[in-house]
Amino acid sequence: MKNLLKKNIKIKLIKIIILNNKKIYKNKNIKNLINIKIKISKKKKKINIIIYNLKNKNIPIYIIYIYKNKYIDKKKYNINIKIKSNNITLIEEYYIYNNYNNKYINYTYNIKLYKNIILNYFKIINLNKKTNFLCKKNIKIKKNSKFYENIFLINSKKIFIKNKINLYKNSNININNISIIRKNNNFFYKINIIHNKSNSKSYQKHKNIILSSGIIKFIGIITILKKASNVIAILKNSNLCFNKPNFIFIKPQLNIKNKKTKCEHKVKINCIDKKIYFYLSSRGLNKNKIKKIIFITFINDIIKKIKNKIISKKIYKIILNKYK
Amino acid sequence: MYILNIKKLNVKIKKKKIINNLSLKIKKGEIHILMGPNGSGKSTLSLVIAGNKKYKIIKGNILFNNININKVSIEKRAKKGIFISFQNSIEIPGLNNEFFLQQSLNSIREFNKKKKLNIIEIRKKIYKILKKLNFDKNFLYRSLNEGFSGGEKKKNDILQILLLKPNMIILDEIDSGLDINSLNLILKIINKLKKKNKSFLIITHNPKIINNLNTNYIHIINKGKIVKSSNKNISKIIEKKGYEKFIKKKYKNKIN
Repeated sequence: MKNLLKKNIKIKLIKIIILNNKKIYKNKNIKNLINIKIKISKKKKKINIIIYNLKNKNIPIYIIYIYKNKYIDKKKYNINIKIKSNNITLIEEYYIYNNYNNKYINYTYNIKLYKNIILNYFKIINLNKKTNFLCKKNIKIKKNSKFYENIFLINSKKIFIKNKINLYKNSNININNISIIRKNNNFFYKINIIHNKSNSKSYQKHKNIILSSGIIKFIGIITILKKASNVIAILKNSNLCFNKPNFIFIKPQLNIKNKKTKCEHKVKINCIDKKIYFYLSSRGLNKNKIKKIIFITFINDIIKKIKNKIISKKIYKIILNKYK
Repeated sequence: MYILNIKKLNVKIKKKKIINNLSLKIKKGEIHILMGPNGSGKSTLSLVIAGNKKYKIIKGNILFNNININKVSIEKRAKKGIFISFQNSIEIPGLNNEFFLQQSLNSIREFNKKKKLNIIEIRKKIYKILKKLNFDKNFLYRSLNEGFSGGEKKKNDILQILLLKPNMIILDEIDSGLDINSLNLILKIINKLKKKNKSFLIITHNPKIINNLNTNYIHIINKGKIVKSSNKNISKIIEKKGYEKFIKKKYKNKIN
């Protein structure tokens, strides 16, 4: 955790650290650079973040949630992010949770993008083995806006994610998820993308890696309403198992009410073949290296897409450290 | 001194015995050809030498450089210098060829207590080999064997041999899918490697390979047993009359 923060300081990016419900601006001059309002109400358990009229272009914003030594109960937290700027925005979020006494993190997320906004959103959830992560997300993407979502779920006991995304005219959403499931972990992911108006596009790529026996349930719903023509919706889900037995349940569901649409869904489940092990070890590679190589190979195409090299390197490091 | 010495090897898979009392000796810098009808145990023998755990050794020993490798893992056999080119190479989508070669070379170098090479040093080495093989550089950035033609897969195996520099090379049907020019090029490379004291066990049905290589011995295998070991001249008889003559007569296992 300390290393992460140190690295961020070196990069000189704007950071908002929400530590036990207290906001801390790492950069003192933050208000001169960016217009951002944060309200944290302890009673209602709400965190409101409004970003608007950015003066400087391409300023990345870090939102880091850290919880230490404080019990967080099962009650929900609401986080509302509204972006009203006309520029490209980059948000990077970390969930880092070190206290072993805590069992639940439960959030409801509301993200609203107004017209003509491009948002690059990175989320790294790196929790301990005893913590359950529950998250409900509502995203609204208005006219001509683009939303790139990259989520990396690295460690937690149970993961429960429910997403509802509304797309409007000419809007675009690109989702890339990597989740690593360890022994006896439970992973549930439900996503519902609603194409409300024409020319909206949605691309989803979900990749799950099961290191040892775990459970995956994935439901991907794509709804295309009558008014929405010329829509493109693509859903891809691939799973890689290192060991047996595993339980994997994948259900893509398409509700199409407009004829002028292009829809596609793909599901893949791969187990590491004995033949692959034999081939690679006959070239002098040991079991751990083979696993590592296949691991990197599997996630490489998603991480390659991240244009910001600092972020992609960081994610590689975190993931590979966890893998060890 | 023998680089590979197989002594009365008996191998089974599940309950079926597939290699019977097989003995074979290969010296440094020798080329041995293994021939035989389909299903006679040629590829099985190569897999057993490589260390495939699917096959269980009941009796006998495999000595590599006078050390028993019966219980040595596949990976260590490779590190010690045994290389096998499979009949059907496996495709691994997404695994970058260059990255794979780098990992493989460095793990072998590490085992032999040599310095690990960085990407730039390895790239230089690979580019030289690619020139020899008339390969485009883009070949490196493709996924391992994915979408490769039969010939490209075999050329990729040769690239690995030239980079990893093993001492004992087993080639299973190296000619499959190769055009005439590429085959001639590969045969030239094998002859050159022979001069550098590399040993070969080549599984083939193609008489052209035997004629163009400086072959030392030809072995005919049937039902998991070597029924005839002879010099190059035997290939003409095989070409004319097939394997029947050798299979019918019970030849004793004469190994040179």
